[in-house]
Amino acid sequence: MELEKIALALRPRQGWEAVDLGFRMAMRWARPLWAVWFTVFLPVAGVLTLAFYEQPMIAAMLVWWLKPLYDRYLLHVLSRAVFGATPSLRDTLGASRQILGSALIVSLFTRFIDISRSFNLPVTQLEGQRGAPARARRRLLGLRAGAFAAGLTIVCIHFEWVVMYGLHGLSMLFESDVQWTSEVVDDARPWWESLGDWWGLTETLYYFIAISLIEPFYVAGGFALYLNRRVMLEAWDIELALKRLATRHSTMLTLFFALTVAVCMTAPHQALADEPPDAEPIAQADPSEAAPGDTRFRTDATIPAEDSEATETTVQECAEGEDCADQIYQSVDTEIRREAHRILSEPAFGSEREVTRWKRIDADDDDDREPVEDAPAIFGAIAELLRVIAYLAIAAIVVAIIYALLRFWLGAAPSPVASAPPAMLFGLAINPESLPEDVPAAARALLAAGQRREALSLLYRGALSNLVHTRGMRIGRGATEGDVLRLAQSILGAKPLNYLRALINTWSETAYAARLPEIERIDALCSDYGLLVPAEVSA
Amino acid sequence: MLTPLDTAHRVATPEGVELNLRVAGPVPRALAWLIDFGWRLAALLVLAFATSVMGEVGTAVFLLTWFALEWLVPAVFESRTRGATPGKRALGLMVVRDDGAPCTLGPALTRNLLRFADFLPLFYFGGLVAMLSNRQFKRLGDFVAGTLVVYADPATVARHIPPLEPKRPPISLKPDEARTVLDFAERAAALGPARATELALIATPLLRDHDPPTQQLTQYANYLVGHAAD
Repeated sequence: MELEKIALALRPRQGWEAVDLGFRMAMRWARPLWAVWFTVFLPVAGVLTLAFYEQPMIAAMLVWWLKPLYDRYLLHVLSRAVFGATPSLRDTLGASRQILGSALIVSLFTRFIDISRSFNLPVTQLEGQRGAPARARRRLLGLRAGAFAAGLTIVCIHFEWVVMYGLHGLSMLFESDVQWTSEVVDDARPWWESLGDWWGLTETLYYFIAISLIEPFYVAGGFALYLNRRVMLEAWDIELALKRLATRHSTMLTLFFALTVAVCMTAPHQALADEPPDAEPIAQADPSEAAPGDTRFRTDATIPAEDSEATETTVQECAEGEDCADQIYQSVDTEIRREAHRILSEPAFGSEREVTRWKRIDADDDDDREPVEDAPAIFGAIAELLRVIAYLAIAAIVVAIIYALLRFWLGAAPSPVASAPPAMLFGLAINPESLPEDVPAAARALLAAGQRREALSLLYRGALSNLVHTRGMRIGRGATEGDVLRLAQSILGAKPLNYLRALINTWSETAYAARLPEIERIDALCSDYGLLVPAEVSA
Repeated sequence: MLTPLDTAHRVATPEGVELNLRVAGPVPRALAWLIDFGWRLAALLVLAFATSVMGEVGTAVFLLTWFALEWLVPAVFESRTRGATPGKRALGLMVVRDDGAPCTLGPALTRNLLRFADFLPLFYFGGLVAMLSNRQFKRLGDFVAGTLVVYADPATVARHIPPLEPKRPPISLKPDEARTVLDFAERAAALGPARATELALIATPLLRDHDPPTQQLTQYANYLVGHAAD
């Protein structure tokens, strides 16, 4: 079982939800499913229709009887597709022997009594179970899902009829003048021969279309119910999630775990490992060992006990008066321990061997370190060099980190770019050279010419220029009007600040809201310009 | 890798909450329809007897009530708080709008009146084909009304975790990993001891001492649900 490859979202679903998932599976893998369906179904249906041209009902019944044949191909495709290995049409047909081999004839004759046909099919075909084990398995699986499986079959039969009558209705819509006649024919035939009269070639065709549409959904629905039941019984979803957890944490914990295992292996539970080697394995043997089937679906995991019943039986089997849970645990533990021993004794995990060599009798124990001194001097020099380089690298990294932290904390740390006052802000030229000598006077002149926007812009540029170039306010290229106001707070008194606020508000309205202020307001701003930029400074 | 196949339809609300709408497919919806059809039929039969003694007026009453039962009453059911006709409620389904909001009268009326389109050409053939050809199993009425039929019960059942002495997990767990540990502790008993141990042994990073693995994970679960450590 390669659970990691499963292409379904695993969680325990209630019955109908599982069926719905099956329907989505049929949609998701529609192309391979219907490709196989038509490849298998069309020749069979065609031959039978031609053979029983005179009695189309018999042809339809034979096609119906052979449904298990096509179902198996559909299930084959689905069972591989859900594990991310959608087989090609050629592969599927090539696997015909395996697909049809497992008791096809039996299933052709037992399908009539099997109302959970599509749900039970995986047990036969994928798990390869037969006879009594298969019956036990079906009973176990069917405990919670049986009603849904039967419901699925019944509903799907009705869906087929819906399609048939729907197609009938559709054809009637397009036939403009249907003559409904009834005539009494003096029919001398025996009654059974006239039975199929109402069923003609048209009905056969509609039936073929109906099962072609519904059957893949039906098989997928049953298969999804089967999968869902196994998800519940064997907690596939938990297995997958735990595997992901283990993978996520394994890299950093490999070392630690190796130590833990080593400790476990040696010390206090040694006694547990000394059980007889032929202790009964806890996992039941796979009943389908020799049978053909799909390894993906073999119950090679320890077979789960049925929900609570079987748990009780297991517990009852324990000797009375003992701690049953402990006993069960110990036998499992022994199994695992023995297996772990075996794996750890493989060459990959290293091995022990005896080495004999000469030793000076009068030597002290601490001459282990001496070989280093025997090495040529050049190695010592290289080592020293590397050590110095490493210290330098560490120092550089520390300095870089401190610098980065300082920049982060002191957001406006001086950078060479920001220290030179920008000549442009918001797309406006603010270097003193671009401005007229007397800014308010020039603004008034523009105002007189009716250019209110330009006048306001000039005042604003003048103010910015003053702030940046005269008062040395530091401002980034990306600053907004609000930033200007905020930065100016620390360097301006109350009156100039109020003026700046009024100016910026007016400018913002003009520039962004396209609301031209009244002439008087701009005039007032011109008059008060001196509050921010004293005349002698501006001159 | 492709996202795993699921029937859940994710909707993100403006509050940043992700809703998982588990969309219902044709089989449960057909059964819900059957139940609804059954009670409507029963009601009509009773009505037919009751109005048969009233002559021509009775016929008028019968026809008007029939119309209401067929087209309006289901819409009223679906626009109420539970969002479900009796049949849908029996199957655990409900109608919601595409964004997971409760179904209001307008969409409910739309989807019910358009049932006629889904019925065409006969026996809901159109509706069946529509449902089988889109991921949210919408019939034509659902498309027009912008509605979904989803499973109503939010899958939150109170957890039953066997009480053991709580123990803090040795590593920090992500929320979904913590949920896995809780799921395991809850379902371990039903899995049987052998399978439970097999599963617990997968979680190698969590296993630290010599206690049985199942017991260790259950202790973590007790810690995660906040049982007192006494």
